[in-house]
Amino acid sequence: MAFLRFNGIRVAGVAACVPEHVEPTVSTSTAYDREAYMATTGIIEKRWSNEFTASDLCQAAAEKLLEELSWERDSIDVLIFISQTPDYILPATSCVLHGKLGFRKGCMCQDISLGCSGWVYGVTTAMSLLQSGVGMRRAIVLSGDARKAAYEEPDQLFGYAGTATAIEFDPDAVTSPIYSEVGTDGTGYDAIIRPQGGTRNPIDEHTFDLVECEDGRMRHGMQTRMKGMDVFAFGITTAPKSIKQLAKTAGFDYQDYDYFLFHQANRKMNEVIRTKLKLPEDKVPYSMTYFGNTSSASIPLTLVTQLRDKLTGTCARLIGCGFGVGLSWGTIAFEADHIVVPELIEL
Amino acid sequence: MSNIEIYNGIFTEVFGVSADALGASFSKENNDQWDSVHQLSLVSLAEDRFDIMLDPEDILGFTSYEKGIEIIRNQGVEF
Repeated sequence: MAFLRFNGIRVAGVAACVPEHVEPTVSTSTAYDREAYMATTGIIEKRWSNEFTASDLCQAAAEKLLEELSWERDSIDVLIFISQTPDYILPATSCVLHGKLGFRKGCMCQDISLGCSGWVYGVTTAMSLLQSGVGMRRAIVLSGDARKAAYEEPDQLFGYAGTATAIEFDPDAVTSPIYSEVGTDGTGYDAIIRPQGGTRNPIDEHTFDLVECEDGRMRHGMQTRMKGMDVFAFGITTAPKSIKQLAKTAGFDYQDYDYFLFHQANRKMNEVIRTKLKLPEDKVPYSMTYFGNTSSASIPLTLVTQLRDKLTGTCARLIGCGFGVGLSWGTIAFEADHIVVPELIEL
Repeated sequence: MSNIEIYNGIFTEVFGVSADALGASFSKENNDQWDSVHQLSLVSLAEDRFDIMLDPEDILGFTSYEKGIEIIRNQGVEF
């Protein structure tokens, strides 16, 4: 177990951006019609557009957040970008965003290639850097995904979103500790995989040939495959364990927390996790209903779309838990004390 | 209610079948309805009704009526 504790650090704000275009859920499955598919997944519609990359959406979220926080751009010491859909194979998208956002040259930039657990990893990494840095005070964590239509299937659950999270370190500040627990099971690396396009299986003349996958569906080499049952089994066991382990190690009762922001995988899976943790429905908000599974954006997007009114001008204790591709997971417990949450941005 | 009745009730709830249809031949292999969503439902109901916590391997192995009994029995539940 990788357990981390942070002092003097606060989450200062969270912003999210989605495309304006709404795409209703469709089902191409013979086993489920649209109604049954929506009932199982909990997703009625998602935001989608071929016009934007994940970095476009993250940039818009970052600009709005910096403006509302009144943070000068040259005050940012760390920029982290988390995504499975970077702008390029190289350079790192965090470098592209660094230039577009006009951050100073002394700013440390880093990409993290993770999906559903990515926000927890990104925030944990940023906090670690600030706490161990010399005179480093502010970090912006950008997370999101935007898959292009050519790499998608029409009934995929994934929606587009980009988010920005602002983190500040003040060694003299009196803040509640923040706790984080992260982990990996790399034996399940192929449970969710896009097999081609990297150096293991480079793009060639057959990359876009359709081949039959284990689930009977036809996909080309740049489309994502998922072993549904493996991912289900991983999610419903790992997420509750991770939250319980974090609470036990940190010495708190997780039932005392106000809200639980789970990665928005699908409703059936998340409800199993909620039931296992014996949490009341009103403590577990959902954004997936209208935004789909937004990968590493799902936790901050849920905060913005479901908790903005409840968090404005007050203090609440939150637990975020992400789990998925890798297989990878992370849980973070923190206090949202008068954090800045701009209205959802739509492009 | 006996544990076998509780167990059969889970299958009735998930697949909409009567207890008479359940037995050694009721499995993922022989049932078109038995997909990952149904398996997730079976497992989550079993965990809830018998107050047990299954490992990922058990969840993946829960692929037939009989295997389910074996997995739950390994958690100390008597049938």
